[in-house]
Amino acid sequence: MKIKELIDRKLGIIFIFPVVFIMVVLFIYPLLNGFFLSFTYKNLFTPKFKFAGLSHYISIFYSAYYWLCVRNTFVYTFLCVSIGNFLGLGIALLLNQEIKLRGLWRGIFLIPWVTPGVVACAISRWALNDLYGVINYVLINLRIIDKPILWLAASEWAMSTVAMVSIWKGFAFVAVVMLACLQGLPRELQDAASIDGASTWQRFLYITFPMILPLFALITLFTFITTFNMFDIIWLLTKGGPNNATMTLPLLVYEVAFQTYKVGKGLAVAVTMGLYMSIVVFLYFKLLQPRLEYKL
Amino acid sequence: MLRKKIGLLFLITLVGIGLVASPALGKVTLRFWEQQDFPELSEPIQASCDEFEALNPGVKIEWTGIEMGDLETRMATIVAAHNEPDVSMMGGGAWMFLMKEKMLVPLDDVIERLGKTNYSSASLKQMAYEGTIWGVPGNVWMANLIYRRDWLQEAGFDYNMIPRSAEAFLEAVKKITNAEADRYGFVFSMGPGMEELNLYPWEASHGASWLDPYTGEPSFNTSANIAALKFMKELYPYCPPGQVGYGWDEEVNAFLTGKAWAVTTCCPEALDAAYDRGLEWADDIYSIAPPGPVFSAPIWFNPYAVFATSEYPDIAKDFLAYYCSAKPFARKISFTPATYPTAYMPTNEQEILVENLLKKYPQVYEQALAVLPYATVPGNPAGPAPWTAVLDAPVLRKELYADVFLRNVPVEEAVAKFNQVYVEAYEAREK
Repeated sequence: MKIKELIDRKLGIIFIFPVVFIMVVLFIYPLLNGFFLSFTYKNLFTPKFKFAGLSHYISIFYSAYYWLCVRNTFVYTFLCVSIGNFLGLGIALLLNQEIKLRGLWRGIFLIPWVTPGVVACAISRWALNDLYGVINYVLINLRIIDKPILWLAASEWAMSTVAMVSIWKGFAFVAVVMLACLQGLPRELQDAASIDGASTWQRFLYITFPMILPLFALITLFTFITTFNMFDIIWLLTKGGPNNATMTLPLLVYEVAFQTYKVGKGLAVAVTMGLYMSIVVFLYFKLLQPRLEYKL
Repeated sequence: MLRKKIGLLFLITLVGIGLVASPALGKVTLRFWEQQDFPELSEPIQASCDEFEALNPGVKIEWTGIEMGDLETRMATIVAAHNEPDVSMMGGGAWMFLMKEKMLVPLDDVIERLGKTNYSSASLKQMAYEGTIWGVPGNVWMANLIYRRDWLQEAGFDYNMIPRSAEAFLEAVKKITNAEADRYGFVFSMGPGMEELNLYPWEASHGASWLDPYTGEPSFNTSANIAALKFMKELYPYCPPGQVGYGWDEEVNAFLTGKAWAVTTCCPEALDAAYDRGLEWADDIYSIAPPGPVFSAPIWFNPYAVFATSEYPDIAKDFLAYYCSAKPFARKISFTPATYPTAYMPTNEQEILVENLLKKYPQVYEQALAVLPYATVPGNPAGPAPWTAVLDAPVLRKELYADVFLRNVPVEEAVAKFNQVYVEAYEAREK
C-alpha cells in the first residue's frame, strides 16, 4: 500500500514536471532575470554590465516623458476596454436574437478578429490617409466634413483613431465570449419576466446582465491586460507619434531597450508596467470579484 | 538476411543524408549576412560567393540575405545569443557599439588591399575608431530631389528650369502650392523614425554637420544647422498637413499620386515606380543628383565587418576583400558615388536599378556622369562616431523635430537644447 502511494506520488510529480519546467524556463526565470537586470546598466549588445541600483527607477519616475506614456496608456486602455467591451456585448445580444442570416452575421462580425494585426494596420493607414484615404473621401463626398481629417497626423485625433482601430480589431473576441455565455443562460427567467410584463430593457437590466456580469467582468480584466500591453497596432499606425500623442508604455519599453539599447532601463519601465497591472488585478480579485457572484 | 540488407541500406541512406546536410568534411564554412532588399541581387551575390569558393576550394560561404530594415534587430538578437556570423553587412547604431566594444576585427589591411584611395575620406572616417578601421564601406543611400517639370510650366516657370539654389527651389514650391486644389510644393515624411532621412540631406545642403569634421566633437549648434532647420520650417507650410504621420511610402506616394510637386527620395525608386505604373507624366519627372542645389547627399554608409568571434578571421578577411572587389559587380559608373568612381560597390542595389533605368531614362545616366566629380562630400552630416551610440539618438531626433515643427519652439532654442545633450553624451563617453 505504502509502495503504491509512493509510486502514485512520484507519478504525479513526473506528470506535472514538463509543465513546471516550461513555466520556469519561459516565465519564472525570464521574469526574475528581467527584474534583476532592471537594476543594472545592461546593454543590448554586450554581455557585461554594472550594477545601477535604483537609478533607472529614479530617472524614469522623474521623467515627464514617462508620465506622458503612463497617461496615454491608461487613456488608450480605458477607451478600448470601455467602448470595445460594451460594443462586443451589444453585438452578442444582437446575435443572440432570432435574426435572419444569423450564421452569416456571426461570420462577418468575426472578420476583424481573424484579420492579422499587420494587415489591419496596413489597410487602416491607407484608408485613413489624409490625401488619398477612402474614409476622408467618403466623408467629404457626404459633406460631413469639408477638408480631410488628419486621423493619424494630428495630435488631437491620433489617440482616438488608434483606439478606434484597436476596438474594431478586438470587439469580436468579447462578442464571441459573451454570445457563448448568453446562449447558456436559462430561458425560463426571461420568459417568466416577459409574462409579468417586463420590457426588453428591464429584462436585460435585471435578469440578463446580472447573470453575465461575472464573466463580463473577467473578460474586461483580460482585455484590460491585453490592451495595456498593446504594442503592434500602435507601433504600426503611428509609432507613438505625432508629437508623442500615442506614445504608450509598451512602445517606451521598445524605444528604450531596442533603439537606445538600454536594456536595463527598458526592463525598469516594463517592471513598472507589471506593477500597474498587478494593482488592477489585485483590486479586481480582492474588491470586485467577491461581489460579482450571482446567486439565484 | 533480408533484414540485414534493409538495415545496411538504411544506414547508408542515413550517412548519405548526413554528408549532404552537414558541412563538407574538412571544409571551412563562413557565415555571411548580406543586405538584400531586392530579389534580383541574389544572383550576383551568389555568383560572387561561388567564385570565391572556386578560388578557395576548402571554403564554403553560407550567405543569408536580410532586408536593411530588419538587419539591426536581427543583429541585436544574434549578438545577444552569441551566434554572430563571420562577416556581415552592418547598419546604424548597432555596429558603432560593436566597434566601440572591440567585438569586430580591424580591417585596415583589407582596405589597403582594396585600395584606400578608392574610398572617399568621408566613408573611411566613419569606419574608424581610435585610429583603426573596423568596416569596409559597402553601400550608401543617397537622397535626390525629384520634381515634375509639367507643374513648373503651369506655375509660369520654364519647363527646363532646374532650381539650382535653395531660394529658387523655395520660390517654386511657394508658387506651385495650391492647398485648395490639394496640390503642394513639397512633401517630406515626418513620421516617427523618418527624421534622419530628411534631416541629413538638408543639413548637408547647407554645409552643416553634427560633428566637427576635424575634431569629431559635437557641433550641432552651428549657424549652418540652424539655417538648415529654418529652411525646412519655411517649406513646412507648403507641404501636405498630414506629412507629420508619413512614412517613406506615403511620402513617395504623395508625389506619385500627384499631390506634391517635389520630394527627396532615393531617385531610382520613384522614377521606376512611376514608369512601372505607366503614368503619363513619367517622362516629366526630373531628378537632381548632386551637385544640384545640393539636396542630394549621402545619408549614411553601410559597412561590412568581420566579427571577432569568427573562427576563421583571416579567411573572412580574404572573402571580404574579394567580395568587395568582385568582378560581377564591377561597374565603371556608380550611381551612388559615396566613393570615387570605383568598381568597389558590390551590393549597391542602386546599381542594379541603374541598369534598368539606363534603358528607360538615358538622362539619368547623363546625370550620373555629371555627378561623379562631386563625390567627395566632406562627411556624413550625422558623422556617427562610436561615442554617439550612447545617445538616445532616435528619441532626441524625434524631440528635435517635434520642437521645431509641432511645438513652434524657436529653431535656435531647439538646436541649442539638442546640442546640449550631444555635449553631455560626448563628455560622458568614457563612462
